Amino acid sequence: MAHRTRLDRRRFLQIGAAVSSLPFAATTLLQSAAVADPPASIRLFRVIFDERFGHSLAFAAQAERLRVLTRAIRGDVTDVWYNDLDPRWGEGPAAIAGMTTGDSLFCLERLAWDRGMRAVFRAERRCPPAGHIEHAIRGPENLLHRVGDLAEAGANWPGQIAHWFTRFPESRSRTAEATVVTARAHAAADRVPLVSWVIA
Amino acid sequence: MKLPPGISSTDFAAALSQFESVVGRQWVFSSDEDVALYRDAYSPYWGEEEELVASAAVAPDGVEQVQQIVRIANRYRVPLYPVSTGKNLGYGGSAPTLSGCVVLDLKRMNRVLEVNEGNASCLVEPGVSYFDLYRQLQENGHKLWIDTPDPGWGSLIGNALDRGGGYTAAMYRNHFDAHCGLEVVLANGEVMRTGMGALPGAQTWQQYKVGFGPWIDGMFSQSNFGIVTKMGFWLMPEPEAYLSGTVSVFNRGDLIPLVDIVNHLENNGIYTGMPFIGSPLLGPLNPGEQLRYVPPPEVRAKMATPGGPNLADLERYCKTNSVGFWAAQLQFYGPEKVIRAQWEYSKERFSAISGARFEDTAFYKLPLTAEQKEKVHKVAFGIPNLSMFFIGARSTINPTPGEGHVWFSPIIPRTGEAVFEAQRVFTAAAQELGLPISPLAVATTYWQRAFIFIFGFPITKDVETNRRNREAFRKLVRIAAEHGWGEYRTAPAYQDEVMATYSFNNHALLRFHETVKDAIDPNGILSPGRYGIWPKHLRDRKGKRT
Repeated sequence: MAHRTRLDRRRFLQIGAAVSSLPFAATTLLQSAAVADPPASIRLFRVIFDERFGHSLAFAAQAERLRVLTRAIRGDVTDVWYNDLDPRWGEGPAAIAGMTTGDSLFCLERLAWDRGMRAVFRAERRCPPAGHIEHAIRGPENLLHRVGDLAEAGANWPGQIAHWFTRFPESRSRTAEATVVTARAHAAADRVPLVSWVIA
Repeated sequence: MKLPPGISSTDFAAALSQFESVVGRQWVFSSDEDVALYRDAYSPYWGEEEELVASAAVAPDGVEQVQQIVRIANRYRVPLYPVSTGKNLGYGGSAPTLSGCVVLDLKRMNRVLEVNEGNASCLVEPGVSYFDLYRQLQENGHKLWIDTPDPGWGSLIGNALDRGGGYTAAMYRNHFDAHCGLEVVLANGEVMRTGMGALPGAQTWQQYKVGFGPWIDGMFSQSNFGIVTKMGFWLMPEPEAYLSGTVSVFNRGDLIPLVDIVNHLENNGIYTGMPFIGSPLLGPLNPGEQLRYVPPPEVRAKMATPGGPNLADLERYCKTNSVGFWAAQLQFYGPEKVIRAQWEYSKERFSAISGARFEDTAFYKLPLTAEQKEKVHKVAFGIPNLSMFFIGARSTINPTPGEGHVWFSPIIPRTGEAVFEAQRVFTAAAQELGLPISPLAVATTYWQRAFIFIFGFPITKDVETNRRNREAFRKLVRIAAEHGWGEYRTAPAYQDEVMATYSFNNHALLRFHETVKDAIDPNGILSPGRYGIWPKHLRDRKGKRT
């Protein structure tokens, strides 16, 4: 069962707005599962991004800087799954991460399930008014203690998520949920809901 | 966890423990997190008390394990719900027809047991998907095509048993009709083979369908009489070439001779591909491409006229702008000189319709190049894909896409007159129920000799919207039945209602199903309620699937 570590949305908005003076405030709020030593990270076989969306491109660019191999899609996952992922998954599980539409994740999640994997982290992005974004996050508690980083990231939130994913813990604690608001995070035109996810 | 009705937690735990001893502990799934994976993502009852959910799942890797699981299920009266790959989205997914069933997940049984190029056939297990078989054929250089539905991630066996269809030549498009030979684990754990598979030593299991005596294969489709563990299929030899041609006609009444000629040509084998019939006013005839199409503003305005479009006005628009009121696209497979002659002959026949206009739509020598594969309607060339999931995705023309669908898909006669009648009836119902059914919608032609008037009902995560859609769906089922039109397949939530419409002679057909069920599955352990067939001890649940 999921353990919910939900933060009040207004509180997070305040945190996001005050980020320059209180850089660690959000992190502090979620210290319940903080760990002293960072756990070992999974090795990502691929990062999948949807090249139609600027935030997804920014996410992939950061992943590449962090030396993870990326693959572009335009919604349809058939080619990347059939030619790249499934041959690899035929040899055994291999973790992937991405920032895509929900439809793309829907397909990849079910295909991965056929190979014994599942979505272990997802952050569904919503775009309330006034340039903020809100992520409804579900993932291992020992990663969620870092969600304050996302609240602080501003326009660089896609890079922050890529950064998280390259440090995704290999051994995961119980599943938790949180809602994070990042202030001044998006242009008004870029409001397509995207999901950031890890399948392992 | 919802336990099966009437099963104690002690017995249930004992059954799971014995399942573990058969398949290994790692292949029995009972945690909430694992069982949630078997929910139907397109459930019309998503998140409600009535949503059909499993209690656990068990995944065997061979027929002997299936037999042992069935015997254990009998011992404890634990109902099983077999799924092949569980991708039956729009018709129930991997969720059971009765909450509390243990899903018998057959996806580990994914071996392509035989491909016979000379006989153009294969023998597969339930976990083999269209993608799996396509990969095997491609990697081994077989000159054989598969016939795949959209999408291609489902099981050949699962889709055929649910009587799904595809897009290539007529004799392969109806997936159950294209099968040849079954292996079935019966409810008592015994293994049976049908057709020539019943004759030890026969080399013709995938060559001659019916064997000797009553042909019973149909009893294992859309039913709960056994667990199919092997199934043979006839495959389409790769043709030398492909051609498609379109005929457009400009008067509303031309639909009647248009359908008549399409039927005549198909029934005579002049073309073998799937014919698309529709109104170019709604966009491309190919249903997938049509979903991406945005009509010109003038057409949108005419279609949105309160009370329905003025048909005479639409006819004038079509003639003025050289847009067909109706069109049919035929697809031909075969040697180039043959299919070009077939198209020429087809044009001669359609010329009987005054003003008919023709267009050579596409021609390809086969096999396709990689570049061509990207451009074509893939499933018409036996290429599996997942693009259907992205056609209805969020876009400027579809800002609020649904989160799934269930299909309303009644069979209607394959005549223009029947299409007009269905348009009249369903358009009136759509106005009353608030559904977006176009008054120019034309049924699809997966099957020979009958139309399917298919329409997707959106599924949302909003309880109230789903409730309204369920009521509308049930009302459409009743309206269709009043006109003699019956669903060809439906999601578990509606299977009792649909089965009830097949009511000739006081439901003689269903009573026969129940007689068979009681005889061959007396404990009712296989898929209780599937397609409206309930075992005796659960028959009072008919229409009450909770």
